Amino acid sequence: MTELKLQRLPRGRLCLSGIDDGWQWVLARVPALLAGDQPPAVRERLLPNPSNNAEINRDWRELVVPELEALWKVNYELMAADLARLEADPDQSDRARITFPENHAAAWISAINQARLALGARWNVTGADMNRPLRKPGSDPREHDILLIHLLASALQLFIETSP
Amino acid sequence: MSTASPTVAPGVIETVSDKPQPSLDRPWNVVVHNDPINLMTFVTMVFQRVFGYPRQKAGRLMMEVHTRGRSIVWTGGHEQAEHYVRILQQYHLWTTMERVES
Repeated sequence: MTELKLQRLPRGRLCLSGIDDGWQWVLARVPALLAGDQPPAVRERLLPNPSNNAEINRDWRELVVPELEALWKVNYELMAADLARLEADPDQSDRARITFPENHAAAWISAINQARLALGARWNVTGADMNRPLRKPGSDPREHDILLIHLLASALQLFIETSP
Repeated sequence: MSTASPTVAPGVIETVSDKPQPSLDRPWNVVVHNDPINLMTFVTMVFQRVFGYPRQKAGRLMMEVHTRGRSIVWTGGHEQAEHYVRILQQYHLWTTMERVES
């Protein structure tokens, strides 16, 4: 896979470039992973009870959780809409690029991070898993998704460093 | 400025209980817990954005989360603590709140 680049452009726009076929697949996985119902382990990680008080937790589930889920949905749908506008990069014939308003960066950060956490919760990924050298995933879906978590980390870091 | 008259009827002495309200009297800690996936740079960025902490303080709190497993990132009233838990969960940090021990 090639190196992604994120550049700030004039008039408040960002350009994500260096997107080869591998990155296209990785980035497209983000909204695909987040759409639809999530397994209980993922929901428990993303939407933990806020306290040990049953009343607070009940109110939270009723009032706050739907609001958070709606916000996250807006974010990954915005990322999906940006990805749909992928275009050939005139400077690199085998790669693509996307330009979008820089105020979309927060949505990309949210969606990428949420996808990483969802994958981690789905496979119960530990600190030891994250710190050991990567293995060839082969046909092991857990190793495959640990690799995906790492790849998305590099994309996320790019947004953290570059976006306003 | 409000000009409404008092609603207490004449001759009625309104008393306000000075008994502490158990759920409101003590401040609440907002606690962020460690997880193996969130990037250190991301957690630091969130603390800076949400609380306006300087980079050094945000980084110190992030390291406390990482090394000790949790960090109290803010302490104060119940309503504001709930607000911060909501915002930090919006950023996908594993966040809870607990009443300060008396």
